[in-house]
Amino acid sequence: MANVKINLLINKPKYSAHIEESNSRIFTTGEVITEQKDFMRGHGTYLEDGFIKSSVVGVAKQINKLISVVPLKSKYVGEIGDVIVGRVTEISKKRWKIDTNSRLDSVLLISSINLPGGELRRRNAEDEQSMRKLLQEEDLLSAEVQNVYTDGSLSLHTRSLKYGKLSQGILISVSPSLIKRRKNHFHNLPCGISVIIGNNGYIWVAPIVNVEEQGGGFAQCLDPVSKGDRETIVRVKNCIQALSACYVMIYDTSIMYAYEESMKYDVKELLNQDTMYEVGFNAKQRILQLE
Amino acid sequence: MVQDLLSAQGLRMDGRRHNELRQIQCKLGVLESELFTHKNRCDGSAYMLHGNTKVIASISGPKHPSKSSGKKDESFIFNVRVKFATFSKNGERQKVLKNSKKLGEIEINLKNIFKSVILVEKYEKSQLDLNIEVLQHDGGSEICTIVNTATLALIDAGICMKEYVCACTASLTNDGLALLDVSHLEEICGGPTLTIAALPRIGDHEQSVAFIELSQKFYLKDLNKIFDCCQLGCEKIRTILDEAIRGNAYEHVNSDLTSN
Repeated sequence: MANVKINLLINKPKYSAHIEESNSRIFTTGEVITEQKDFMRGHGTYLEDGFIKSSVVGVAKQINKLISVVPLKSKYVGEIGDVIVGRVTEISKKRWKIDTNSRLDSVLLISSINLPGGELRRRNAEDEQSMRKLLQEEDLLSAEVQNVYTDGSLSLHTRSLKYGKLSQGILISVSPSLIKRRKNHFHNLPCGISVIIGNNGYIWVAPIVNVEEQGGGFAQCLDPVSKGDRETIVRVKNCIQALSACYVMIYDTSIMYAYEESMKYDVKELLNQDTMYEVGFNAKQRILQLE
Repeated sequence: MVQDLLSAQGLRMDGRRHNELRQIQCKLGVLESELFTHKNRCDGSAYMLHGNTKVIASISGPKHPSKSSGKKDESFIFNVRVKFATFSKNGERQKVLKNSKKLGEIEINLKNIFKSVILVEKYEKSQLDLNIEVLQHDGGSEICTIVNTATLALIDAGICMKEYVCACTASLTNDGLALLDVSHLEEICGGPTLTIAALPRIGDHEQSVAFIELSQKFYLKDLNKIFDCCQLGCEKIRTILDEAIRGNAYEHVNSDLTSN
């Protein structure tokens, strides 16, 4: 008989003891942040009766005279230069529409990609018709934010060999606020796995492939992946989910810590809620010790 | 004549005093699971138990408008869908009408209430879906619990709003005493019921009212009394919601989030 384990939200353990140490103050919707008039209102705030009030629940941030409230959980708000992982939802004239976990779908113009083999693009009807050969609906890709339009939607580009179509691996989606902004979002972990940590909360875990061999970033590598690699990929995926469940910031070090903590368990055991929280919490402790 | 709702000792049928709410329990982020894929994932959810009424609300969006939503104008698309479970009333299985007038009315009311509170200009061209499931419902004033749950879900999803929206009901005894938070039993015993959805401000006694509904006629002189009672209830509910939200928020916040 199959052994089924059911996890109830009620039984979710609470690791809030160390949180009270942090002196960050939470503002809730409608709460007055400041009564002084000489401040500017930023994101997550609104002005009423001359007071700056919070419009979301989150942590207040002040840069000089600008006050903004960062919500705990929200859709991805793009910034130029961010690395993102996205999924093609639609192909229209000269552009791909891409789901990037933001409020509106992003666009990838055909003029902002490198054609395979470094070929130059001929501007004619043919290359618009052959767009589907490069990227189809439901394909995954990594890209960089080129521009943010006034309505908040993003324009992407893949003008580098590291960006392009993703072939074999696992996509994990976490809250964008958990992604730590770093210099590099492409990592080859010591365990022999590559991860792309998109700023938009989508994380791609895949076996390491040599970029130079691919040439152009739109070729798909469909070589069989060894069982050992696949197990490691799934373990990394479970570790990232454990970190996300414990609200630990996700970057290469935290993933490696969680990975090391998880080694004493089987891969499938990591799906168990208790194990998940233990792994996440241990990784968090190690990060705190590091600081 | 209406049956007396208040005993000689000043207690109601379920043992509450005239100015006491029913028990409220709430939880945020209930439909959140690491195991959902990104397509069927919801962006915010909440569960509320208010007396014998149980409601789950979930938010999906703000997202790119789906093709089926049809409207391709500049403005913000806000869809509300309310569903009553077949077993929700009296524990008996009942046929649920999908497009009944009553449901339509609740949906329109909710739409108007929340469109007035959400900072709509931030969500131009996008779509927000609010789905509400009433698992168990106790009497006619279910809109009150629905509004409170929807507020929690919207906050959980990180939607920009001006204030919490809190809804509450009140009724009147034969002696002209206002009763807070009417239960189903009290409602069927008669007496007018006033439902309001208000935006209670902290430290400010004047509330903006987003929605008001009256079930029966009563004397104008009693209006102020009932209205004040409702407002008091809204303030009390706000405190309860605020506590739940802060409790949930402190769980999220780690020292990393502020440094980013």
